[in-house]
Amino acid sequence: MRGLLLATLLIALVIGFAIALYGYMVKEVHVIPWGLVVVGYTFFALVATGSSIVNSLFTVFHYRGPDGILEKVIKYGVWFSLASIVPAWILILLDLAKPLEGFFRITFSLALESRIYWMAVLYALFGIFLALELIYMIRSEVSERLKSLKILELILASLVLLVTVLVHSNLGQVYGTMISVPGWFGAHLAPLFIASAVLIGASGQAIYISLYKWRDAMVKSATTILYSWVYVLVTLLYTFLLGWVIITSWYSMAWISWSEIVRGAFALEFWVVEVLVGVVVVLALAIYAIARRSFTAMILASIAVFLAGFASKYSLIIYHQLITLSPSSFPMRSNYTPGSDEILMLVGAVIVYIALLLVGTLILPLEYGEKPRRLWIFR
Amino acid sequence: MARPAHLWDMSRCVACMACVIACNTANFPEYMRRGNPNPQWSWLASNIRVWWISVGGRPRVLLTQCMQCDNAPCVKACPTKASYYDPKTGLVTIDYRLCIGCKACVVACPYGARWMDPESHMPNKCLGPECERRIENGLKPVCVTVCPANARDFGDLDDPESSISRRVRESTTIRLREELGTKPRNVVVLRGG
Repeated sequence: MRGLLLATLLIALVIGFAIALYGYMVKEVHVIPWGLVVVGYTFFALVATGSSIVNSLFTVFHYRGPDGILEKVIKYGVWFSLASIVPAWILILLDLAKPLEGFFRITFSLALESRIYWMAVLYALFGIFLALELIYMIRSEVSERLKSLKILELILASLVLLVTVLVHSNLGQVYGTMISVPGWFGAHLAPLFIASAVLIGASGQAIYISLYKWRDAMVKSATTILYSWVYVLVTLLYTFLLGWVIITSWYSMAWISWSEIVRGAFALEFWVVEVLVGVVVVLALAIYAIARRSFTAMILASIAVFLAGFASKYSLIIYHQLITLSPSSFPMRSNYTPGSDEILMLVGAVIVYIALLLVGTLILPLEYGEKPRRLWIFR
Repeated sequence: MARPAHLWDMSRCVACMACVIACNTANFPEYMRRGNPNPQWSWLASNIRVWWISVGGRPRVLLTQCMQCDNAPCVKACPTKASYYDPKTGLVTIDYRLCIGCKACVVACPYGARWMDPESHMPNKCLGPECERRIENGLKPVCVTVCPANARDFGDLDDPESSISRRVRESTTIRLREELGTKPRNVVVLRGG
């Protein structure tokens, strides 16, 4: 049964990759340079890095969570972060004209003024440190010597956290340094991206861990409390930051696009999806989940955070590119619908992501105290 | 290093679009022959962008191309140093061997002067390949040559004897969106001398 499942997942992995590759091969030029593929890339990058921050509550700050839940599921959390960065990498590479040489050209260009150069460097470090952290966690289950090197564990975890925060901030500033898009320009996107990432990352992790271990009553109860508290606190912070960004945009050219989002053509989506679902419903469900220890409410809140998180990234990346200023400072507007090529790339990356996540969950020793038996690298 | 720039005299321009079509035929002849457009601008495959604007309720045309900024956001945004200042010509140029088509330069340009090539998926900008050859041979870009109203010029702003420097001295000029700090070299003449 397990072998069959693994085989099915590996086939899904190949199919997903083939779909994404086909999307790349039929790629078209769209009205805006950064479309759905970049939205997907940003979203998954935030899922990976945001969940990594949640992991750091235990790995760096030694907060064990209700019933010590974080310690018990930490390997699942780290694997989730690592697997989540893969679709982000796939999407950003496929968005390039030359994906094969893209990463190396960027990494070795030393274009220090370019935010995208730093993204490549930080992504490489993020992947390396996170993989090392996971290997350490698994290997220390069988090596007493490694287990006693607590300082090494802390150094690795601190490096992951440091790089994670830098990735968020730098990703925010990839957009924030674009003087051409008034709705993006400024330092405000870095903190907004950090808060948004923690929410999205926590929600993805909650759905993954809670559903995978839905038979474990202790895990269900503890994750309900842990993630619901994360949603309540970080949603309040995110709402404050978003409100602050919108209010400050009033005094600048950024208002030309923010006004369309808040009270113009995109207002319905903003108020219904981002505010009603992403804030009001999430807060209500999370508070209910804490008060009643309702696992179902926590899962529903996680789904709401996840979907609203994607919608908010779509809105932030797409709509602000659609409403900009002409060279003579006149507002100009374009229309954009995602192309089939972009949808194919995104769908393919999502299939790869789900298949990879589950393959890793099946073959890696992620249980608390589980000793590695299969893969030589951990033994 | 020279500081080459374009000049566009809006008081002389008759909006005949000869410059736009000349750019298309000279720099993208295959696209012209096949009728391939620039899908990003929904317009001809040309490096000159046409903006229809309204001034006091009256329609007006604004023609822009790469502003050859002294502080170019596209150069700063490029993660592979493919966008750079050519030390020989002083022009903001793309090295297509280094370019990976990430589109950061296209997003970064506040003048919307770059567009993605629908076939190569690489960015295009003024000067196009044919115009670059013309500059190397001491000629002016095609848009300047074909303009029937003498509304265009091109040359080194640091050379006081160049025709563009003379026209700048004798005219009332502006530079577009200077408030952004991009230091665009290209000049728009409001009233000719």
